[in-house]
Amino acid sequence: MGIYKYLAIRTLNMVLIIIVIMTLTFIMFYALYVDIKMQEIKQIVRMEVTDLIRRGVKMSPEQTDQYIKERIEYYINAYGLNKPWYERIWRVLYDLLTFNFGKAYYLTAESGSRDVSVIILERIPRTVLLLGTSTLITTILGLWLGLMAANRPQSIMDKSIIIIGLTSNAFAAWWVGLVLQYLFAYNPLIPYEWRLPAFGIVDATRTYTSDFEKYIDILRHMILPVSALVIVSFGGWALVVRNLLIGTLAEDFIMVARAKGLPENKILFGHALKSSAPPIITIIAFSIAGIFGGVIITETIFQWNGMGMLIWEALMQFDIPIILAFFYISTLLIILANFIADILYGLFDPRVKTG
Amino acid sequence: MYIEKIREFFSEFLKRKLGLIGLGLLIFYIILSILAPITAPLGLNEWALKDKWKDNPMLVPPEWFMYITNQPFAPTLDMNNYNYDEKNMGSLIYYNLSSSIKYDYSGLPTGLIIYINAEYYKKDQGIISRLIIKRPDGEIIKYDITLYNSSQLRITDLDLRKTLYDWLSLKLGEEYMKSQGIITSDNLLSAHIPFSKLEKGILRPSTAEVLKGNYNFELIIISDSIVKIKEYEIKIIGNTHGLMGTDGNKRDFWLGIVWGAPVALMIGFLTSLISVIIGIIYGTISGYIGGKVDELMMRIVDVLLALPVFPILILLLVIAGPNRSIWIIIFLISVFGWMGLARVARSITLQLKETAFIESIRALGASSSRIIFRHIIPQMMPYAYANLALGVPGAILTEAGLSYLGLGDPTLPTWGQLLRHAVEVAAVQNGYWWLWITPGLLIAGVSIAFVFIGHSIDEILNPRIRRL
Repeated sequence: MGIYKYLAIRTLNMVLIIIVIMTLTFIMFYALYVDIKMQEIKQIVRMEVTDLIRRGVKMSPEQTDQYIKERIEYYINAYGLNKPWYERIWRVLYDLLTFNFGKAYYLTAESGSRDVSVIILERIPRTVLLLGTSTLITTILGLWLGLMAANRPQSIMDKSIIIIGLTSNAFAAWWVGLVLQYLFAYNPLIPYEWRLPAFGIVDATRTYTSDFEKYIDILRHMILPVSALVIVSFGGWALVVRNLLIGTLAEDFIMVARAKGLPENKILFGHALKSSAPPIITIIAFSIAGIFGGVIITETIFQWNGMGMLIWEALMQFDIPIILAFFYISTLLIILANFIADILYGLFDPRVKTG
Repeated sequence: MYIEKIREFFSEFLKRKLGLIGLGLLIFYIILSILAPITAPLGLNEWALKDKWKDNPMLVPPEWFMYITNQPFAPTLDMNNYNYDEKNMGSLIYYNLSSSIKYDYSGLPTGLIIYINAEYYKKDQGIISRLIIKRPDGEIIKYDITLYNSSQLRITDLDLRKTLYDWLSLKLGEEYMKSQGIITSDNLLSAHIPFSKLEKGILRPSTAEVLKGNYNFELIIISDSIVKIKEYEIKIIGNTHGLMGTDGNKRDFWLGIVWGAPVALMIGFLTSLISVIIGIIYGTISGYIGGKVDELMMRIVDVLLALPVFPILILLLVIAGPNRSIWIIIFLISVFGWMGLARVARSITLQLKETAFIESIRALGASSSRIIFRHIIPQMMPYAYANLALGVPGAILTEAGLSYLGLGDPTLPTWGQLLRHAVEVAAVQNGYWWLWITPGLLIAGVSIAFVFIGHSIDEILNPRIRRL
């Protein structure tokens, strides 16, 4: 199978999965969606009737009933609610696939806009900032510690990495967040000026004299949430890297490299790390893709107004356009990560290219 | 043969430090689970009742905390033992119920409640009785109570206000009391006064000093008919409570902590079990049948793996509404948790399917379901056992997260819900450490127990496979 045919099949697969998922999501929401729209229609009609009455239009009760009925029917037609779901779903899917998310029901962006795309574009950079930083730190720390451990199996370093790796996953990031808030933000032993901000992205009560000062303050606000995320994930990372590398370091070509007298650093980074790269890349890709869903609680604990908090607010208020857009974007990310990991696999591992 | 294998497994297991630590932790949680119905038999029903907890102090630390700090703390004391004395004096009967307590704590009480319930035969009228508090400094405080037949009387420190104000006016002089400005007999904070030194500072809990020593409480009833005491109890409410303190609803936090253990174990174990069963059966069938069916079944796995699971769980639980039960939560978490194992099971099946062993069984005419359930799945048990243990932490953490967001079963006190409550009362900011440290540590501990056990099982049963 050639690489192009392989790519074509993967792409097709990807599109199929997205369509299936969005259809499922839509079906899940359909009843709710109709419900919400019906309430909206009733409210509009009620306003129309009161408006008529206020303008002094005389109507008998029967006439009023008849009028209300007609208007409701008109709106049901206008919104397409009389069509069955399988006819309407094409429209919704088409809109989603072309990133045409429509207007949110309740939530607004800070500028007051109700455009779902505006709202999401406002929130995404914040989450990317938070999670990008923590993923970067976690990855570097994990790779480094994993390498250290794998290089000297059964050493104290190795044993502690195993224990940290196994235990750190057992803590919920948001609980670690609470601990950090207590230790560094509310600790009575720390003088007030030295305490770190416990929540928020910037200090709303403060006016910044320059952009630089603002960025520094954002960095200060990032310390606790990023630390919480790093603390719960770097150990697991280090353990994965360690396990992968121990397998690789036992292989023949490493022994050959050692026999050739190559420096240890070159063996570790050049040979071992490179041949363990594909699975590591896959994990990185997935940890980047899954970031939006995984930080809902951490973001709420730190009042970090990003995607996690957005979806939480949207879910609590059934703001369906936002929920659909969120599901579409996060599914797209996961699938793209899958896809990219597949391609990179091919680049790093010649067996896949020809296979 | 089988027993031999199990014995071998255990002797291997016992050699592993991590496995032993995990096992020790698990035993701790099992003991906690057994303690739950013993120490709090009505626990789960009591937890949601507001009325049941009204006489506890609110948001106070555990009792043992007062022994490790030098801040002023007092425990919550229950005096339900009393000396009963009965004397006939002519046509009247004289009852004396006395109880005494040695109060030598550094803190002052924050509340005082006296429960009396008496039964007698002149039902239409009340009986006058008198409560006498004898203090270590010789002072005496008297409070008159009218008892009514067979109804529980709950006298709190608020009812004692007037009496205590008058007593203080007598002792400290009315001039002094008037000079204290806004303090009157209606807004006097009174619970600490019987236990404070009779000095100028006594009016306010912040300036009052504890009077240590023996206190004697006497309830005297004089009646012309026989009185039967059904209940007589004095509760001195301190600013510490029990093993784990109390929360913002005055509930005994120990109850939530201890009942969280069996609930967490059940959630973790059941969820993991269901996921493992679905995963192995699904993967095996997919791999065994192969072809188009396999393709379709694996696409379904792809779809499920591409879903943002946590938002979906939130969504489904929001739709389920407020009467969501723990069973729905367990079911939903397991439905989204089996895909990884299904992939592993499928690839193992693909390998096993080609072996001569399975082929010869097939040649003998065994049915597909027999081959799958009798010959392929048993070979996967090592993965199943390890995954059973390794799946528990994820389930417990997910449930804790959902509970924290307020999407748990409202009738069960899970540790996640305790943490939610802690954040609701701003426990981190206000220093109510007992509300958030213990539940969080317990969640982490139970996860660690299963991770360690699973890791050890995995090392023993699957020595080569475990790389990722």
